[in-house]
Amino acid sequence: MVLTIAIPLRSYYGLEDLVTLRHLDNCGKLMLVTGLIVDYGYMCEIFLSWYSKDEFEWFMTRNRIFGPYWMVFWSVMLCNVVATQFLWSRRIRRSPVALFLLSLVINTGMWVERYMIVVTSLTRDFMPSAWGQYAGTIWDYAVFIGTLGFFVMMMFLFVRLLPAISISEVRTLLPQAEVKEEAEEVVS
Amino acid sequence: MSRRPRYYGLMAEFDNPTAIVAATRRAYAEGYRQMDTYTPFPVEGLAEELRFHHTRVPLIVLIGGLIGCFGGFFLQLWLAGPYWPLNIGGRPLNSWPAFIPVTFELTVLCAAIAALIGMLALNGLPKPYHPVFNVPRFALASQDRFFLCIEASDPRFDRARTRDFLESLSPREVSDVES
Repeated sequence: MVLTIAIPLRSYYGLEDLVTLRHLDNCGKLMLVTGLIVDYGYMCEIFLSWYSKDEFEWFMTRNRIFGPYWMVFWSVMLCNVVATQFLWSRRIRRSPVALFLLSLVINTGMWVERYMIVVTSLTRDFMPSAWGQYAGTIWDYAVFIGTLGFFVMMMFLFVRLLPAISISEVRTLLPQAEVKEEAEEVVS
Repeated sequence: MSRRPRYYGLMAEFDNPTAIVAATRRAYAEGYRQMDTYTPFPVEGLAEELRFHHTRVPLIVLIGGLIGCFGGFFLQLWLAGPYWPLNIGGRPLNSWPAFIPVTFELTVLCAAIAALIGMLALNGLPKPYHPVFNVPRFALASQDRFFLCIEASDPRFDRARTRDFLESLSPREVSDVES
C-alpha cells in the first residue's frame, strides 16, 4: 500500500533523490517478508483445520478451496502467494514500474482475501437452512468505489497541505550541507 | 541559596557550514572532547568530526525484539495451556504453529516501541530547557548560524585559553554560556 502511493508520488513530484531505489528495494524486501508471513498463515490455517479432524471446520476449508467460491480462494493464492515470490528478484525490487504493478496485485489480493473470509463463512452457516449464495450488486460496488475515491481525496489533501517528506531530511540534500572537502582545505 | 549562575561553556558562532566543520576538526585536534555543535540543518561530516557515531539504539531494539518474541510466544503458550486450557476442535493445547504469526507481530511491535523509547531516553528529548538557550543569539541556530559549544566539563577547558582558541578560529562572536 505504501508503494502504491509512494511510487506515483515519487515520479509525479520528482522525488527520486529523496525516495531512492534503495528505499524501494528495502520496501520490496519488507513486502516479501510480510508476504511470506501471510503465506505461512494460509498454510497454518489449512493444516490446523485438517489436523483437528473437526468435520465442520474441514468442510469449511474444502468448501473454500473447491466450493462455489473456488475462484476467490485461488485468486487470493495467485495474488498473495505466487505474485509475492517475484520479490525475490533484485531486478524487480529495483524497478519502480514492476514494484508498482506488484503492489496493485497484492492490494487486490488482500481485498479478495477479506471477501473470502466474510462471504464464504456467511454463505455456509451451521444450519443448511441459512445457506445461500452472495454476489455483490451494483450498489455494493458503488459504495466500494466511493470508499476508494474518499481515500484518494484524503491522500491528495494530505500531500497538498502537509509535508509528505520530512523537511529536515530534505535539508541534508542542500548543496550547502556538503562541505567536507571544502572544510579539509580550510584546515590544511 | 546562591543565585550565581553556574558556568556551562563557551560558544562560538559561525556563519557558514564549512567554517563549523573546520572549527570542529581543529577543536578535536586541540584535544577538546566535551563539545557539541548546533546547526540549522544536518551538515555532512559534522557528526564524524565530533566522533559521534556510536549509539546504543540498535542494541535496545534487539532486546525489545527478543522480549516481544519470547514474551509473545510464551504468553500464548501459557494462556492456552496451564492458565486456561481450552479444547478447540480437539487440537493439542500447545498448537505452536498457530502461535507464530502473533509471535512475529509482537516481535515487530516491541522492537518498534523499544526503538522509539530508547531513542528518546538516550537523546533526552523532549527537552524544554538547555543551557545554550541562555545565549540570546542562539535563536539563530534554527535560521542561518552555526554554533560550536565547548563545555566547561571538558578536562582541557580553561576559560581564558579556550576563549583565545575559539577566537583564533575567526568566528563572528564568542559568548559565555551560563547554566
